[in-house]
Amino acid sequence: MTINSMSFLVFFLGIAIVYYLPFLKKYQWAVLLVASYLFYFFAGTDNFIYILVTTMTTHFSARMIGRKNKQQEEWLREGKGRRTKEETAGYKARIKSEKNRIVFFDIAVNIGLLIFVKYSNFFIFNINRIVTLESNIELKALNILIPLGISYYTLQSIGYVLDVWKGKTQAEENLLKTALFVSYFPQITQGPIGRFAKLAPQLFGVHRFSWQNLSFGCQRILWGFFKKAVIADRMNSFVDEIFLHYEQHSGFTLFLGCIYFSIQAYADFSAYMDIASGYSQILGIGLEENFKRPFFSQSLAEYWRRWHITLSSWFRDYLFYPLSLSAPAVKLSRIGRKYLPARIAKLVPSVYAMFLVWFATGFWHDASWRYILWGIANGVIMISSMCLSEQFQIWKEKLHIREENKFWQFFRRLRTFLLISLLKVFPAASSTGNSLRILKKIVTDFRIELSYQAWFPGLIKNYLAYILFGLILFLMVGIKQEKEPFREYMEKKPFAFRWCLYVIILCAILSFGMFGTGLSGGFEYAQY
Amino acid sequence: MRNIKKIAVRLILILLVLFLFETVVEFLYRPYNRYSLYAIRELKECQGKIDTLFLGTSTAYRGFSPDVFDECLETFSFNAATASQPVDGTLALLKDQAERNPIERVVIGVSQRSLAKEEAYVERKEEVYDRLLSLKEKISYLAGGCTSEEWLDMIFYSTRVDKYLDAGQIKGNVAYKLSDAYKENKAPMNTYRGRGFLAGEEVYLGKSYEAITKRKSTWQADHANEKALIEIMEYCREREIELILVFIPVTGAQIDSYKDISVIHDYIQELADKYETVFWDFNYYVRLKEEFSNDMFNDKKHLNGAGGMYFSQLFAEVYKKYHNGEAIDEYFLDICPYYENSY
Repeated sequence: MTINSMSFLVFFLGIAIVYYLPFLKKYQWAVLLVASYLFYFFAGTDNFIYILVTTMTTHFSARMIGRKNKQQEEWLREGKGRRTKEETAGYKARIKSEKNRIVFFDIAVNIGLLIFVKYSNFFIFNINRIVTLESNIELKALNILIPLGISYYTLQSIGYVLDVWKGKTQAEENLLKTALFVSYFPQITQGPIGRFAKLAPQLFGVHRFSWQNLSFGCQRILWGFFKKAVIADRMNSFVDEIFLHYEQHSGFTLFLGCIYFSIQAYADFSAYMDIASGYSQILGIGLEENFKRPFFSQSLAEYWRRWHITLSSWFRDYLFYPLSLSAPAVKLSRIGRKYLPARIAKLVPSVYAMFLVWFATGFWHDASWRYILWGIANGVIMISSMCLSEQFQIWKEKLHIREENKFWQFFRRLRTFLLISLLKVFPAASSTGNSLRILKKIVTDFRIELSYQAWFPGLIKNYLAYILFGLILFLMVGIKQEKEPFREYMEKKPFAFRWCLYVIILCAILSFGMFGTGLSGGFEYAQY
Repeated sequence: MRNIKKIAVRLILILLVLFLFETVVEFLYRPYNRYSLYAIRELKECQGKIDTLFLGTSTAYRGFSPDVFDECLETFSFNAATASQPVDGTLALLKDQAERNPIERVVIGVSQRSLAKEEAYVERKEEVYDRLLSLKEKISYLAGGCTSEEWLDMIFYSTRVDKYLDAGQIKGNVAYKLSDAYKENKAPMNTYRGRGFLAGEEVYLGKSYEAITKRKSTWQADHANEKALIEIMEYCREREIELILVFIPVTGAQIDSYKDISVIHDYIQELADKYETVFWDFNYYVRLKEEFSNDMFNDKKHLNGAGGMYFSQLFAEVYKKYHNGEAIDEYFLDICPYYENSY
């Protein structure tokens, strides 16, 4: 049962009715927990053990750390003005070390589980490649099914424990409520990766039925279905065709394929987010936004602040900052100051942290070298851009380029879009070897062709019209959203206008969308 | 309460818009030159009169001519077979028609492919759904044999148009659908001969097979399809409807592709014996090779117009004898004639 299926719609209707029953008001969170576990149960019973382990370790780690925090607070309050600085520092260090041990345990268990289920076969495959060069010994691949949403709920849970560790949030005392935070069903498959401070109060609070929530939720679901059925799934077959038979296409077509894949992936992933957020909003729970029109970005760094926002911010807060302040980073910085110009030397800790973060981002997406390469490529571009920023500034001044110039902004947007599309060659190809071969072909066999077949190989002309219709509407909404929130814009419009638009979108889904078998097809990001 | 009213009003509005949209699209885009359009309209017109129902796959709607059968037996028959008709679809159509007509006999053109297929294509299910006339059967069919995604596809299948921008198609459709010929349900093609019978105009030019030597078989019926077929037999027995299972003649080339037709034959025969049902395999017909040569076929496995009429005549003749209590053993061999020389 995927979130975009009709069976999920029926499931959700049942849940929503029970959720808003007046006598169950106090137990709404329990209804959500039951729904989440039912949803998870439908995905397969084998998955349960992993989510249970994550829930238990998260809950008890957070609680133990929370108690340590309280213990320290009380100790400090009680002995205010009576203890020496050394005594206080010693006590704090002891508590910190105890908290560190708990955090280390929690991270080790959860990341260990993630590595076991998601990366074991990747390691086995690579070990075999090295070992078989020397001997005939070969490790057998493990027959493990990757549990639904493990990449997402693991990060969300670790984030919560780290927030308690930092004292940013209080630990939840109720195990079942922690279980709900870990498994909340609209977001478990593909995120967004929620923060406890924002999500938990909504999950555990009481919500009255609101017409506005229902209306906004339905609008968002409708828009999500439109993007999924009319754009993403319609584009899927011909984009697949380009990359599956890459050897038959020129570098030009392959480059276009990267652009199409980029658009299709955005439509697919953001459609999921809209559907998940819409369902959640009907229940009165607002999920964090994961996209902010990433194709309007003027740089790769900005793109990553607009694309998969909750993942980027998770890596920023829980990996980048700790890494750039860590002992190896400080040591590297000291070494850097000896051998490099001061301007570059001060960037060394950031460069070190960024490289590791982007390696981790690539590896988090998939257990394959092509994703690692993709992550590293993103990192290298951003590091280069950071290191060369002063040089760029000098060139811009020499060329009299003003930042507010519209053409300059357009150029930057186009350049960023083409760059991120080119990098999509790694996720789009079926293997690391193929992605490198495609990249080589793009570079060595790039000749602009004008034939329909070169631009849209294997795509029926009528389907192209449907996709273009979807993309134009998508772009128009995006441009409007850049200026003002689309909902506010819509609210100002007369009832007839709004309903006309809803009807057009609904009819477009039915007419131009791929559904039936297509609609039940999963979202691409669910694989991560 | 106010909220419930608000929701109800909007839901009704959405449903009305969708209904209107679906109707308009169907009128504009559903091709006027497809036989199914006329077959469905005729089926609706014939309600209350049908006493003999032909069901099955494409071999059946090309094999049974209601006109020929009725002329011979003074019945009122209708051919409601559809392309690759799923077996649960056959059951649904039978139930639907039996509720609305004084059905006395049902003839099912069984297909080895439909029996073996695990999951029918949604388009094939749609064709059945389209011919179900009662809402109860439509809902029951959706609930019983379809995934929730297929429901959506079936309910709004008229909107699944590949060429929305084809002005020529709209023009042709609108012009014909507004004409008197359409109002009188006159199909604009020669191949549609009324009451669901399609008479192909092609002649199969493929290879002739004198003796078939391949005797390896991997054919196996799907469990769910077998269950549906048994349910059909039990349904007919309960309702005292005479059921006849028929294998319609195919070309030697097609028989060759079955690997071993006796496996399928024996399977149906066993099932028919168990549930006291009549089964006639016309691929075991004595003069199959002589009378059903390639020129009787539209392609490898479908009879053409001449073949369909000829077979209908033959079928009516056999049925008449059987009905009158005469022996019909002389018509059938114990083996497919194409296999005779291979032993």
